[in-house]
Amino acid sequence: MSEAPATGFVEGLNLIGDTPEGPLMELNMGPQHPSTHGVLRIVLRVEGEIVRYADPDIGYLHTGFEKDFERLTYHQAVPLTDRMDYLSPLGNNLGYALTVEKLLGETVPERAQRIRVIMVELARIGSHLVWLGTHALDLGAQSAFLYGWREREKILEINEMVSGVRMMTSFIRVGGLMADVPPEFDAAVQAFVDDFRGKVDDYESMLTDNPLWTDRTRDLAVISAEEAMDYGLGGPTLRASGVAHDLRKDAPYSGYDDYEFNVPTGTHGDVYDRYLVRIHEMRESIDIVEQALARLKPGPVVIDNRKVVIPPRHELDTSMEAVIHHFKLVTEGFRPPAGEVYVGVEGPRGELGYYLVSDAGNKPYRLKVRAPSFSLIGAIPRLVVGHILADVVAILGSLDFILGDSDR
Amino acid sequence: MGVADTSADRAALQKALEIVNQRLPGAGVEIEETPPEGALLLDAAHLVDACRVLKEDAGLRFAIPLFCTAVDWLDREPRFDLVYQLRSLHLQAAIRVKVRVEDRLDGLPSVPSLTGVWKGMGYLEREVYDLFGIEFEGHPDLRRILMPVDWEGYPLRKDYVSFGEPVKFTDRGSFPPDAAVPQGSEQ
Amino acid sequence: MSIETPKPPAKPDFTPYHTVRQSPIMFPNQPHTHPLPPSAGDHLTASLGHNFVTTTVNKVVAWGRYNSMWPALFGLACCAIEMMGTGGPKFDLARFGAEVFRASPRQADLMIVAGRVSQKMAPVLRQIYDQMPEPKWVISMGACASCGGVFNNYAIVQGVDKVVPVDVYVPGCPPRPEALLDAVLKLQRKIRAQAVA
Repeated sequence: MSEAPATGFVEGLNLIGDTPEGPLMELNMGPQHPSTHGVLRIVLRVEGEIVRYADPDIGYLHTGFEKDFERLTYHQAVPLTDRMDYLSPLGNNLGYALTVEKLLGETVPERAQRIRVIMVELARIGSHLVWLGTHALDLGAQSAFLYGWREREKILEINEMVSGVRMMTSFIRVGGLMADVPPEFDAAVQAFVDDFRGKVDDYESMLTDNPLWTDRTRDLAVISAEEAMDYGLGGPTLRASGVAHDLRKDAPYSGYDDYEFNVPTGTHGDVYDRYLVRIHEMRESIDIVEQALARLKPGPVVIDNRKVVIPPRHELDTSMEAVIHHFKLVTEGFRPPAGEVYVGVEGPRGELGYYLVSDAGNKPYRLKVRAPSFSLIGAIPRLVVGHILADVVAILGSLDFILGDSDR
Repeated sequence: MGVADTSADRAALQKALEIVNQRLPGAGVEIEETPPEGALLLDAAHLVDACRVLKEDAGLRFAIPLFCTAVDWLDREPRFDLVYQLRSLHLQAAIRVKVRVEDRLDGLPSVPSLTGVWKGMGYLEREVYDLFGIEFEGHPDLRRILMPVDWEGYPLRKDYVSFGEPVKFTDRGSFPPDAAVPQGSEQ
Repeated sequence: MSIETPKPPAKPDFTPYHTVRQSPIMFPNQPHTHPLPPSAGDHLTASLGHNFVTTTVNKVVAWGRYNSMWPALFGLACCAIEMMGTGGPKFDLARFGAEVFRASPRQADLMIVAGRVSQKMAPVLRQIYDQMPEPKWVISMGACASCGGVFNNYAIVQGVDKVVPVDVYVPGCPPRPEALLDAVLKLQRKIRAQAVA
């Protein structure tokens, strides 16, 4: 195995070694590549068209999040969490908020939980739409990209209505939500729900029974359930291999046990099954959004603990105590008790987990983010070796990893 | 409920403790009671065997390695806490396993690798090596994964200063006030 | 008392045949009023007003360049998703000429650095920039590419202009697609302005 040079580049094409069948050629895929879905570099050794060796090289988007978390207070860390898995930023917000709330021993009010569920499921649908668009685009179905973005724009408009920002909303915070949703929220989400199911049927009609699609994706990169678990894979990839594991059902959080939804699983564990599982997940997510919206009742959206959540604006005019709380929370932040806690939520890629170590200070002592994409990329060598180069593109698309999540 | 019910996790931790102590009588495994959840405390000598028990025992089956990380307690001896989190679909629970690792003056601290037990540990251990400088004996491919290959230093250690650019204010020097403004730069 | 008004400059004796007053491409409907030599035939005289456009080579070349800038795919992080959104159906970068996002930098002339540039990625960024043929332009999209953004630490290069020269900076985290469109239009105006030389 050649050692990686200092710049991370492999100059030119290297013909290295000889197998009994012929010479092995070393190819560099990425980090600037249309089909790696991010800045991923894979060093491939191919014999003709067949990949014999693959070595993913990540770190091109390493941002030092975990180091930054150690110098920010708990409230200041929320916008940073948006930018890790940047396709479903609200999912990251939720995981972080639940972790800190678990350490504090707090539970947010019911309205906050339901709105959290709505926003997170919409973010999950948005992430799956980007996956569908880019995966299909890589395999030649360019229309899926445009259709996916048409729907995603509606979700981003809902984000903007609620928080003012299209993508990195920081809407779900420790102790509840940023603010209550405006009155137009219900109608907008209901309009999206009514419209979306027909759209998912459109996407399916385009791809699911299309021989161009099935020829490229059926029986490709099959992984068994045991192996998938051994690599630490979760989410749609594990479910496509037949394991009905979904943290929203098995370890429910934020009121998920209140909603009825199915967990779609596949049978073969190939690329086609992973595609089907995600399509069906979009349908289940829209069901959850509809149920949560129907059960939404008026109420508070933050916990009633002024030592954690800043007081409402109008109180600052009249109450001195509110001003002091506000001042202390903004400058110093709150101090949770010492301890260690782990919370895992079901992200669009797998189990997104936060491991928080607190030494009773106002900043986390250590906040480790368990990134599902990291394990997915670890499984690439196992999945890609033995297939031809064109299939590598399909396999990478089916795994749906995000480099911001894996590199942190 | 707002947060996941952790009684299943606690029960799984108890069960794991019993079974590991039963199968490895000399290991002396105990539970470290950090609030609010606990962790299984192992020592490096029995790490691989205990993890194999955790994975393969029919009553436990912790088949999914979630993460492997370290916590740097700079003022404590031993310095590092190596933390693993494992999930079992059989018990529908996740537990934490900890190993305390001492720093060495003449090299990097070393722990046996768990890549023989879970394949997913390959990348997870590389990340700990890259960011903390803890070596894993028996790892087939231990090299840096997130930082460039020729990077010096282990960024997530507490004594590694995360240098950033000091923000220069033209009228006030720099922010934070004690940051060194590079010599020779304008203003 | 009379106010001395400055006398207009004397007209040159020879009137140039082709006078560029404004760019004919921007205002194609305005008639041209050149005085013509008396030897021109009537048919030619009549049609000269609307069948010919006159301009400089610089302006035509600039017009071709800014109206079909091909971006090199350089989406790194979250800004890449908004860049894809800008190319998507609602905001449609294609109507401004930036239709094809070329994967190969050898076939591109615009590099939109969309996202945070880590220390490991910086040499790659420079190499891709070097591989692009002249003329080339760089838009630094987002706060992270412009100045390091929210990340001021060991891992992120504090501004992509430490590595490549930048023409237009777009603030935002991530910038709205309209902001990126504004940046592309500003770059088009910049190229047009640079052609008057």
